[in-house]
Amino acid sequence: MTTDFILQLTKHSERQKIFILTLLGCLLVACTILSISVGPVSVGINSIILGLKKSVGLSETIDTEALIVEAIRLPRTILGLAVGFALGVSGAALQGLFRNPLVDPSLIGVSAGGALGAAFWILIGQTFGFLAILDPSIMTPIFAFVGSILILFAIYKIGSKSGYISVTVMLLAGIALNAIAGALLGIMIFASDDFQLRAINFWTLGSIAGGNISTHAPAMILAIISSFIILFDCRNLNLLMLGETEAKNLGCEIHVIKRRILTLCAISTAAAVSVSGIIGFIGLVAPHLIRLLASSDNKLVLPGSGLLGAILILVADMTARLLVQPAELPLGVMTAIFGAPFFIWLLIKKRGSL
Amino acid sequence: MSIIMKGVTYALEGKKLVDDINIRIDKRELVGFLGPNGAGKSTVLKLITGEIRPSTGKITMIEKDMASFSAKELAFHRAVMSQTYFSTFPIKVWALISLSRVYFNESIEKTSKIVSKVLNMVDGLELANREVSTLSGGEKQKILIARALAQIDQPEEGIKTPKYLLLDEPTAALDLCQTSRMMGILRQAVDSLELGTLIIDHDIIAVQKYCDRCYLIKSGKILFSGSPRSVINAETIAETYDIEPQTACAFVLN
Repeated sequence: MTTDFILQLTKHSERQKIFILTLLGCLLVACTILSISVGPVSVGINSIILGLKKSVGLSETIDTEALIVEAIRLPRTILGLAVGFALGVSGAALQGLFRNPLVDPSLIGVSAGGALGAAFWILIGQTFGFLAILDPSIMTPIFAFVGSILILFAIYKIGSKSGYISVTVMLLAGIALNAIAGALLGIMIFASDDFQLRAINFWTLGSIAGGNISTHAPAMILAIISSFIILFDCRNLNLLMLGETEAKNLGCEIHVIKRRILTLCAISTAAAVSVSGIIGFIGLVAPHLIRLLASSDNKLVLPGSGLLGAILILVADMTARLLVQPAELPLGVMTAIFGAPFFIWLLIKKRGSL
Repeated sequence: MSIIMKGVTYALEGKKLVDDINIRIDKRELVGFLGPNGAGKSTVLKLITGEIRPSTGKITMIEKDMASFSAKELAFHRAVMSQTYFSTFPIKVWALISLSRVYFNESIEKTSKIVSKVLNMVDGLELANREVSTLSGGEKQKILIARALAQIDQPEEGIKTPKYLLLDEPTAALDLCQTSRMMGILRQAVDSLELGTLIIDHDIIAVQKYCDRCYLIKSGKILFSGSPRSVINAETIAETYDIEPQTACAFVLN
């Protein structure tokens, strides 16, 4: 009887996991269809199907609504899915790795580095005429990606000594390098003209509106694949929650695993940020919502945060484009408006235990 | 089939924390480890768990060099219970204990069976569905011992692979009654599962009562070793802990 009791608890939690992931999956499908459909021009289901057929080359004929689907809605929705999934999974993995509930991908310098790289290209790309032949919609993400990776690498180098990674040092180094990157960004803003200033500002506010399948595909694929590989470390992250010594005693090769998770998170968030700009709070909020909803088992939290991150981005994006139509609010503004109050609520709720 | 430390020295920045130590832990044996704060007890434990490597000397487990084991192999042969437990995110007792079997690639039925078995052993089955952070100090300690036992549970009935249990002050948070019960549970586990067990403790009487052998350590050196009956008395305790023999009498069973 007693054995059955534990088995029932285990099986119940397994069922709960499957239920929640299925629910999130269904929600995500619904949000995806909605995201393609709603906007200044509403698109019916027939046109959605027609537009989808056109984008995969199954159909030649097309009407205006289907054209909107193919050229605008579908690319931004796919971009939202990729960015949301990457930020959600990385946020959850980093919180688990650092054993700190307040960690967000931006804390390890991804956003600041990305903004720095993007601003750098916006400045020099516009200043030197001969660079104008290069497509800014490709070059800005490349520079943003390089900027993110450079800052991440610097933080990693400061935080590690002969292969041993100190989580605390890394976090503190992240704060310092974020400040330096912020100052450098300030200098670039100071040196920019009105047009460049708008471009830099727009980038730091984050958006998926400019989604373009052909130019953004490499970044999106990179973000999706690397965050997908992180999912395989859910068991190891469960052990790391108990602390590094405990995890090691339970058989976890912590140095290898820490390095692997950090690298994958770096690649996936840097790739995501490079095409979307800074979108805050998704990586912070999504994992916490899953933990509040069910449990802190990373077998659920990692994939759940990915799905929820994508849902949150699509919902925020729809709100952003519906609220002040036909204009649009920047996506980063929306996620901050919803995300920051939630974060404060979380702080108040948890202040006893922090 | 033992854990053996031979002539082990561990130095950090020129200072010898552990100095030319010889220790062995055999199967079906409860070994006590006594000494004042800062004597090097925790360093010895870290050396045995494989967390740090000796500067000189050799540590072997089942006649193999400790350094040649992977983290997973170590986890298969020995469980460690440290003094502190900390988790940032909430976790249920049954889930925490299940975590100790993560790398064993077994069915959830098997894991559940082991979890309920060890919870039964420490008399903590009613805690199974509680949040670990809501437990009292004593309850938490019981759960941590249960978790260590779960980790080194034998793979199959009747098979006895060498397994070791390394405990850092397992009864520190327990009252008198709980301590004697816990030591009883440990003694029983050591005998029935043929565990080689090392206990670091400040409770001299518990070591006298329950251990087969003991070591007294001071300033990184082993002063006395042998059966508690022959080794522990007012004089040896006084020398180890730097106190008067009259004072030491109060802490020792006669």
